[in-house]
Amino acid sequence: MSASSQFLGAGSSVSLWVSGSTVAQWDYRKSPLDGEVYQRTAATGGGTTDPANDNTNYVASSYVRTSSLPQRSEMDNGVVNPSNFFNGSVRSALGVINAATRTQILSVSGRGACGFLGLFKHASGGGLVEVIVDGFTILNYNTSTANSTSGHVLIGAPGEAIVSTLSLPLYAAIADGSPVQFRRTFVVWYTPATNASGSNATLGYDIKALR
Amino acid sequence: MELINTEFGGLLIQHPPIVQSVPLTASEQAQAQIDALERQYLMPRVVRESLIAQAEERGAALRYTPAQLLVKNKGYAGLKAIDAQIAALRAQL
Repeated sequence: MSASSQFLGAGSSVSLWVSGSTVAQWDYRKSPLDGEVYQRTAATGGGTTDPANDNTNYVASSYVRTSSLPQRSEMDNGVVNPSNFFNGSVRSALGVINAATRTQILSVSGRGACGFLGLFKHASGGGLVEVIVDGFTILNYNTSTANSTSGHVLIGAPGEAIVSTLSLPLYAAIADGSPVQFRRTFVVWYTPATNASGSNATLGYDIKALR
Repeated sequence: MELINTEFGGLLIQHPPIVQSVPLTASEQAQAQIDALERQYLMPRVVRESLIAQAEERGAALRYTPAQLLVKNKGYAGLKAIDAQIAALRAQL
């Protein structure tokens, strides 16, 4: 039986990972934490960390696990009305988050995928965005925001629209065809640096559930 | 900031309050219609008014009344119709 057919053809044939047991390099184990199959890439050895929590020695085989997101630069929408940001996504009103205050702005528990994530600070100055998926930080990004009309699309893509002669590059939210999957948790934190976020600060996201 | 719980497809999502849609004001709607008409006819205001003025000068030179000019110059009549439509919208700004 080939290595891949161990889990693709007959899922039950993949052994459950057991803490402390030896796993050969390139062998597969099913995580007791999330039921997913992981392949050991490190040399044959043991370990006490569940493969779902061990991205040093294992890679995910039964799903695509995103390990890092790019640090995308800001885009200037030219307006401050939140109605002109991230249309098509679920938009949440962040409002004022004080400077240097680490704030959880989104938390999802369960099994799903995020195809779009956008942040509009509605104030100039930087801020730290953290995206933590299943316990792993895949984005730790000090954004630089030039002015109160700029925003960042961190997952997915922006869609431009012309509204009342204005060109608005961040008007629409376009979900990534290969979304960021999560098996247990998807959490976003935001910490404004020296300037608080503005009253129109907005988070746009597109989350779908997976079973 | 207080997060709100929403259950969705087996997920528990904790999120800030949802942004309420803000409808366009009457002025913004009128501006959007003007933009749409001008794009449709590729006839921005400065070009439209210049062509109308030229046609009216020519009509005056030929001693046409405004009503005669509308009949004799169909392009002018079309321009005047678009211009009147946009003028009505401009009045709403």
